[in-house]
Formats: sequence, C-alpha cells, structure tokens
Amino acid sequence: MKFWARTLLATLALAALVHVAALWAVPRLIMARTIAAMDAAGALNAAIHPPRADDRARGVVMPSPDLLYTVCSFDVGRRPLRVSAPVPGTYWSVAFFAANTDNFFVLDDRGAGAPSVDILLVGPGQQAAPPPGTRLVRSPSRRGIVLFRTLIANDEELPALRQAQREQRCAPF
Amino acid sequence: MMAVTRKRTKHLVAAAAVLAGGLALGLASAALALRISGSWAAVRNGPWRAFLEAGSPEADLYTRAAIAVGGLLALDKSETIYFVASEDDDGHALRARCDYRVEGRDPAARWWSLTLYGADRFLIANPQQRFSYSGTTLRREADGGYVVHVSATAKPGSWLPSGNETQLFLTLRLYNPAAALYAAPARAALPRIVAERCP
Repeated sequence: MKFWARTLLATLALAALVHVAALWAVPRLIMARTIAAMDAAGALNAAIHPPRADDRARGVVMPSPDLLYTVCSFDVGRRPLRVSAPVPGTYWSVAFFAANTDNFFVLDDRGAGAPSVDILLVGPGQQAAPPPGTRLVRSPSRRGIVLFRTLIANDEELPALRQAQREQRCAPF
Repeated sequence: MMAVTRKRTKHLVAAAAVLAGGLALGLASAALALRISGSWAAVRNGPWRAFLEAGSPEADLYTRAAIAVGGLLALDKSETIYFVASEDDDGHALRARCDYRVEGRDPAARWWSLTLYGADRFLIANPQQRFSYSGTTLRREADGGYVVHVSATAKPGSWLPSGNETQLFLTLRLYNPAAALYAAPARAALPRIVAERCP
C-alpha cells in the first residue's frame, strides 16, 4: 500500500478510537463535574435542600419549578450511606444515579408502601447488614447522586412540603 | 546521510499528521454526533422528542452522551416521560420573537406539566416568576382543553413569558404515565405548538 494511503488509514483508525472515547467520556465527565459541585455545596454524603427552582437555578439543566429537590452526592467507598425520608401525600420519588449516569434505583410514593422509607446504599463489592425495616441497594459505582423529588401540586402546599423536604436525609452509616 | 534524514522527516511528518488529524477528526465527529443524536435517537411525536432511555443502563453510547448533555438526572420512562420541543408544528425553531399557542387536552398521566426554558435550558427570568403550568394550574377552555400562550408580551389566560431568548425549549413532563402511553409514546395525544405571529 502506498505510504500516504497507510497514513490516511491510520488517521481514520485513530479518529474512530477518539470518537468512541470522547462519547464514552462525556457523560462521566458531566457527572463528575456535577458531583464535584454538589460536594462543594455541602452535599457529600449529606442532604441539601435547595429552594424551589427559578431562573437562578443553574446547576443542572431543565430544573422543574414544580418540584422540590433534595440532593446528596454519595461516596460509598468506605461506608454505606443511609437514605431516609417520610413519604408525603403527593407525587414523591427518590432516585439513585451512578457515576456513568445510570439511574440504577428509583422508588416513588406509590411503590413505597409505607409512610416512610429507609434505604442502605452500599458500594460495589461491599457487604452490609441493613437494620430491620431498611432496604439494601447496591451502587455499581463508588460515587454518584441521590435525588429526591417532591411535587408541588399547588402553591398553598409549599410550606408543608418544604418541611417534608427538610426531613429527606442522607448520612454515612 | 541525506536520504536517511529525508525518510525520517517523512515519517515524523506522517506521525504528526496522524495524531493531529485523528484527534481533530475524532473530536469533531463526536461533537457532531452529539448534536444530531438529539434527532435520530429520540421518539418523535409531532414537534415533541422523548428520550426513553434516560438513565437506562441499556442506553447506547450516543444516547447516553446526548442525555447527559441535554437532560442529566432524568428519570426512567416508567416513572416519568419527558417530551421536549425546540420547534413548532411546522418545524420552525421556537423563538421568543414569535407568539405561540400550545393547546391540547390532558395527557394520560397521574400528573403533568408544561415548562418553558431558554436557549441555555434554564428557566427564563421574568417579573411574574412564571415558568410552567400543570394539569392543576391551567386555565381551562369550555371543553376541558387548554391553551397556553408563549410570547414575550403578556397575554390573557395562561401565558409563559419568553423574554428575549433566541432558542426556546418546551418540556412536557408526564409523571407516572399510563402504561398505554409509555408503550407507544409516538402515538400519544400531545399538545400542538402553533406559531401565531412571527415577524
């Protein structure tokens, strides 16, 4: 094969590799950046309760102004994370996201089947004995995000829902 | 001596070309793929697009990257379906300098909302602090349907201010959608987006 034809082929081969590597990295980099921002805001293995989203909410794209969010960035490398909350009488959910953006667990108010939920999140390869009444969930990655959503169906409910939001907790186990 | 140097120079130049060319082509093609995967990876329903694999471990390379950019932390489809529109029914990009009418009936979900975002996918600042309407807050027509106006200037009834944004995004969120809906989202009855006045 001619020298420059080989060079072109090598270029295309490298381009294909770079293409795949870049697309693979994008979600992981975005998650890492989001997790770092949450860590910096005090959410590392702890719950923070941002107020209702408005035009000033610019952390994650497309925030809903009709939900109250609670966020925790988790690091279950050394210890599990205990995630607990009362279940309010409106649409409510808790979702876990891995470092590669996988939504590996979600529970909503209909599926909760109880007035409160208590979850023990363990890291890959970890063992833990969940306390009675606690649900065990395994994360595929050491780092990730816990996100609670509580629906504000009408504005009059907001004060009571803000109180419920504050009781959504993450803590090292 | 000269022949060896020429040959070595040729190889060095080639290696540099491969590296630079491969890197540039790889990154540029990845960026392009990200941009267009918004079109072909999604379910289409008129101007509405839904990524049904948000958060799914089965999402392919392109879908996962596109969702990370455009809809990070979106829930799985059995929990929530997000339909996003960046165009009107005629296929023209949504812009704040146009007035739109978004009209329809309640979709089959436990709860739903319509939210307006600006070009950067964040909520648009406005003195009324109005960003969305839901099944419970909409002004209803006599037949139970609804009309939401999207425009820069105030409109009577349900109105979402679009400010002076260039590109607009409308997100329709359906929480706990009916099984029939998430089984066939392309056939769901979704609101029309009609450009009323576009200078």
